[in-house]
Amino acid sequence: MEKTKTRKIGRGERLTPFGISILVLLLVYTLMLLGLILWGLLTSVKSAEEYGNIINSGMYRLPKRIVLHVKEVMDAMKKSASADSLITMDKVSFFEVFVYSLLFAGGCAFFKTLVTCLTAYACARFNFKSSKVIYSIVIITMTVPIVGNLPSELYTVHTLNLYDHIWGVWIMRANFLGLYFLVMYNGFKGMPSALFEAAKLDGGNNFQILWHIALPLIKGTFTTVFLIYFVEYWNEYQVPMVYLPTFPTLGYTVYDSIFGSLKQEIRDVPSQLTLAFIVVLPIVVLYLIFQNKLMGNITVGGVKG
Amino acid sequence: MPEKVKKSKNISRRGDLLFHSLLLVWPVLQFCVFYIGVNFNSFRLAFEGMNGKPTFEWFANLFDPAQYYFDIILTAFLRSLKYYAISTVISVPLALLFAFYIYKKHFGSKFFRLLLFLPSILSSMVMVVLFNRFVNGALIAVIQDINPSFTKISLFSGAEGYDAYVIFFNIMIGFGTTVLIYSNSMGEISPEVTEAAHLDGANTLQEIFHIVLPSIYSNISVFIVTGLATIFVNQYNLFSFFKDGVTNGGTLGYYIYLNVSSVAQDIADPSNALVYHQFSALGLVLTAITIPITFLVRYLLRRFGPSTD
Repeated sequence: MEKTKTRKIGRGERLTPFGISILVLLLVYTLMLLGLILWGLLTSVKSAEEYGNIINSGMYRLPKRIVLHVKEVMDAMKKSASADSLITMDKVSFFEVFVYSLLFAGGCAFFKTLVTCLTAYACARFNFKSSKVIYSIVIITMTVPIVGNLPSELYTVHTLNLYDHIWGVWIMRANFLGLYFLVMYNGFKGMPSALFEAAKLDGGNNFQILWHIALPLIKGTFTTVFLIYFVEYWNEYQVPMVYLPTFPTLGYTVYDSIFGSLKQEIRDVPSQLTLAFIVVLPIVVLYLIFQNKLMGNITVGGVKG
Repeated sequence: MPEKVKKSKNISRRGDLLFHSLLLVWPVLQFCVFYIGVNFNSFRLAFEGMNGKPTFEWFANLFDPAQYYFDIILTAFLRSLKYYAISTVISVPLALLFAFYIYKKHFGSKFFRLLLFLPSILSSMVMVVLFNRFVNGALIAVIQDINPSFTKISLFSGAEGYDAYVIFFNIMIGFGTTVLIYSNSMGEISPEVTEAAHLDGANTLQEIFHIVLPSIYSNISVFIVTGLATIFVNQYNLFSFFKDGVTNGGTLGYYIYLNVSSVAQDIADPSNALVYHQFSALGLVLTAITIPITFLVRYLLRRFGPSTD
C-alpha cells in the first residue's frame, strides 16, 4: 500500500496531502465569502463621510464609530417618489414593502407547494391513466427546454387581467411542474397502502384519508419544499418587477436602490448595504432555524421527508 | 353476494375517480393556460405579423445582417456558449473536490457545507451589490494605497476583464446545491467498497476516479444537461450587475429579459407589440437549437459515461 503522510483530525477520515490541498482551496473560498460579508457588515455601520474619506482609507478601515442607517433607509423608502418607468406608485412605506414581500413569497410558495402536493397525491394514490399522463408531463417539461416564452407569458397575463395583482402571480405560480412533484410523488408512493385500506374499511372517505393520514405523513416534505420555494421567491426581484410594478418587494428595493428611484434617497454605500442586510436578515434567521430541513433533506432525487 | 361486492367495488372506484378528478381540476386547468396556452401563444406571436396575418418576417429579421440587433444577438449567442463552457469547466471539478472533502468528513466539513450553501439562500441582487461595492470600491482603494500609480476606477474594465468578473462571481455563488447533492450522493457509497479499495492499495485519486465519480456520474450528467437546457435563459446576473448598461455584450437570457421587461406594462402599444413578436420568434429559434443539443449531450453522456459495475 502506498504510504502517505497522514494525520487524523476530528471524527472524519485521515487528512491526506490531497485533502490538505482541497482544504486550502476551501479556506481561500471561506476567506473570500466571509471577508465579503464581514466587510459589508462593517461598511453598513460606517457614516457616509467616513466611508467616502479616501485619505483615511475609509472604504476598508474598521469603522471609527458605529452609525446605524436602519431608520434612514426606512424613511428613504417612504420618501421615494418613483421616477422609474416600471414603478407607478407614488409612496410606499417599509411596512408595506415588507407585507408585499410576505404576500408574494409566502403566497407563491404556499400555493405552488399545495398544488404540487395534491397533484402528486392524486397521481400516486389512484392508479388511473390520467395519473400516468400527469407523471409523464412532469418528466417531459423537465427534459424539454423552452426558451424565451416571457413575451407570451406577459401577453397571457395581460389578457387574463392578472397583471399587477398579487393573487395573479399566485395563480401563475400555482402549478405542479418541477422536481418536487417527483419528490412528493415518491413520498406518497412510499406510504404503506395498508394504512389507506384500513381507513377505508373503517368507513373513512377519500377526503378524510387525505386530511387525516396522507397530509400528516407528508408534512415534513411539505415544509421543506415550502421553505425552499419561500427563500427562492423572497430573493426574487425580476418577477415582481415585471408582473407586480405597483407592489415592490424587499428584493426589488435593493435593485431600486442601485438602479431605480430609491437611488435618489439612498445615495451612500453604507445605507445601500444596510438595506441589503435588512433584506437578507429574515432569510438568514430562517436558514439558521431550519438549516437541517433546507440542507439535510436534499438527496440525489431531491428532498426526502 | 359476489355481485354485491362487485357493485360496491364499482361504487368505490367511481368515488375514487371523482375525487381524483376533483384534485386534478386546478392543476390541469393551470397547466393548459400557463404552459400549453403560453407556448402556443409564443408560436402565434412568432408567426403573426403586425397586421394579424401569418408571416416569417420575424424569423427573417433574426438572420438579416442589416438589422441593428443582428450583431447583438450573435455576440450574445456566443457569449452564452462561452460563459456556460468556462463556468462548467471550472465549477464542476471544484464542486466535486469540495463535495469529496465534505463526504470524507474532514476537518471543518460541516462548516464548509454550511458556508458553501449560504450564497444559494441569499438574494443574488444582495450578493451583486456586496461584490460590486467591494471589488470596485474597497479593493481598488487597497491597491491604490499600496501602489499610488494605480489609476483604474474599475478592476475589470475591458471585454476580457468584464467576462472574468461576471464568470468569477457566478462560480463563487453557485456551489451550494451542486456540492450538497454531490456530497449527499457520495454518502450513499458503501463504506465496504472504499475500505476494500484501500486494502487493495488504492490511493485517494484512484478512489475518486474508480469509485466516487462512477457512483455519482448520473448526478454530474444531470447538472451538465440541465445547465445546457438553460444555456440561453441564464442571465449570469448581468441584469443585477448592470441593468441596461452592458457595453461589451450580454448573454441571450439577459438580452431577452432586458427587452421584454422594458415593454411589460403596455401590450397594446404597437412598438411594444413588435418586441413581443420579435422575441417570441427568437425564443422559438433558440428552443429549436437547444432541444437537439440537450438530447445529444444527454445521449453522449449516457453512451460514453463510466459504468458503476
